[in-house]
Amino acid sequence: MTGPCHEGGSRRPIAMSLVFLCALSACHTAPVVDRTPPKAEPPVSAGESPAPPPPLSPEEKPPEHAVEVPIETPAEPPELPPEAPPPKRRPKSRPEPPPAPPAAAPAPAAPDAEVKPLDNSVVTVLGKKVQGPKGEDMGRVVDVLADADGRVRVAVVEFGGFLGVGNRRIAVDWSLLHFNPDDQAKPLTLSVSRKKLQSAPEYKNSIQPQALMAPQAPVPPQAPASPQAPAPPQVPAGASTPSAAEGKK
Amino acid sequence: MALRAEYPPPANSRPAGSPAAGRGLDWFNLFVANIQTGFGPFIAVYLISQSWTQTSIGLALSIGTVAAMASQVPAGALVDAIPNKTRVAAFSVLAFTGCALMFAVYPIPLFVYLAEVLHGISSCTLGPATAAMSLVIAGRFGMGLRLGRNARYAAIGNGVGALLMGACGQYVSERAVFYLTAAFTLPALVALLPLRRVAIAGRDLQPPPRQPGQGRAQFFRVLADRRLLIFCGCAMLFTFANAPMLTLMSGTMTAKVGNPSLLVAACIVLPQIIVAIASPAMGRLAERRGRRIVLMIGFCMLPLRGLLFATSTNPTLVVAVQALDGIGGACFGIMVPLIVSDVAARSGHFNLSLGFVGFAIGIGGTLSTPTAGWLADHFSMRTAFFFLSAVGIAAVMLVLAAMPETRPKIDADGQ
Repeated sequence: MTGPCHEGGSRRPIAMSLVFLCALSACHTAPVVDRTPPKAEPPVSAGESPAPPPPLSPEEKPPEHAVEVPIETPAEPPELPPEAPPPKRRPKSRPEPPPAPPAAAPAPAAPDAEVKPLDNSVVTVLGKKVQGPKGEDMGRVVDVLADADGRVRVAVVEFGGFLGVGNRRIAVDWSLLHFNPDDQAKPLTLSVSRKKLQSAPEYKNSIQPQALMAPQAPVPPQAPASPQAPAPPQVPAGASTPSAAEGKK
Repeated sequence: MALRAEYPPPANSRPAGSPAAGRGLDWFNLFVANIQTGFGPFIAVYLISQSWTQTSIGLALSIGTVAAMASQVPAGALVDAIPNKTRVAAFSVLAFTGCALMFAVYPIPLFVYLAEVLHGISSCTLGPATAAMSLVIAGRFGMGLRLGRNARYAAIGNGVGALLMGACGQYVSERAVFYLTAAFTLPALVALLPLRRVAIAGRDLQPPPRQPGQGRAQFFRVLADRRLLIFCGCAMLFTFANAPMLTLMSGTMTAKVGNPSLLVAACIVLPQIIVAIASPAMGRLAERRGRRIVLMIGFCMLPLRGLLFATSTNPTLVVAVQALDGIGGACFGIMVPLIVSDVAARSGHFNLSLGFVGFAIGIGGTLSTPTAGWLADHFSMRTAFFFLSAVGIAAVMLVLAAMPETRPKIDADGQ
């Protein structure tokens, strides 16, 4: 038997990999604790506010439902930057400053961040179940993408498949997702028919990712940015699929 | 081959197992396959439901892959060194229980990574241990039949496990799948009970006592056996062409059909039914007509499947084509331990050699999915399938041109 030599040879890697593991999970814990802000995006859009804003500007609104989301035209990037409103972020289950009065203009001299109780209407979006207009299962949210202004633009939803085989990922317009204000445990509602979602191109982390975007109020491809016209919650969006902004940072 | 000449003819390679041991091994294969279904790609789905980020999930799965790859060969050597293979199998299954419970009870990063590593390692000890128990029970000359039976029960376990766990994930919760997995380890352990004696019976199958100083040289001689190296190449190409096919195809199909989950389930379960039906016949064929013919049948399915997938995405046809996967899977699943037992059964390095082939298979599987995905993204799905078919043809060519027959009877005649 060739026992001892092999045995020793195979134990050492195991022990080493255990050490390696512990180290790995140590690095991991940090991101997990504060993974909540979707794609933390320090870059405040270039020419905007002169005041140096602290990373967590306290002027964010609690995310109640989708109605608050102004819809821009799908081919947004051109006209947004000039009058870009304050970087709006979606706080998720995270001890962050509570809703200050929703400031219309960026507060110039933001005071230092402070700890305040968070009202519990916030929910974790990652891993949240998604259902269709008729309550059918549409998978789960696996990622949330924001643009350079820190605005959440699309959610990536994974659905279909069997035991993890054949799943599809589709990026959908943030405004197509509706939160349930009464019951946080309930799935989010995606106002797109299942068929539409299924036939949408798969979201890939590539140069030119595509997403299912909410329809514009009328049809004009690039009307002046009209921040009203929230998506009617229950209408299956005849969503078009222009390419989503610039994908993941 | 000259290598074999130094051993006495296999006088004591008669079957050592009782019928009860054989039945125990059948059930053991079934339950282990059940268990392994839970540890597949489903882990990603589960971690998503636990609010894990994509990056962390990718890291966890990579850790599992690396652990499995790295431990193939050492685990094989370890199993060689432990006389009682039944005990190895039992401990591997207990490790699975631990992994499943870690996933289910406390899916924090440390435990998930630990479970991934533990699962990778114990899969690498379990495979060789099962093959070694089969060898002891069936003897070298009954190995083909025994492996056919193993494959049949494993396929039943896979199919039933997929259905049960799919339903469990759908209707109960993602977490429940891992409790179910943990529960399945219990009957697997019970199935091992009649196999306790196998360890003692297997003693006469051990190689002649090693002369001091000979070990390392022999170690390398076994791994450098030309037949083993060629077979490693074949196995790597086969896995490379085989692994991404279903994933690629189901990704496109789910865009088209009404109930994608059902379709993918059919694509997974149908091949298992075919394997369950065809495996014993393939094992018999391998004993009567030799290994090469079975290997050729299995490998030919690959390019065929790739070309059919490249030409049609009709859901019905796709499910039908998956039957070919069943035939290919049956042949390949039996041939890996069978050819390795032909080559290395009496060298004392059977499990090491099996680990070596497993490593080659792992490389093929790890490289192929990103390659095929890249081709599908940058060119087209059709290009990816043509490429996989080409690799499949290369595998067939390698078998045809280089792979010698390893059936022991011919071997004995040849000398």
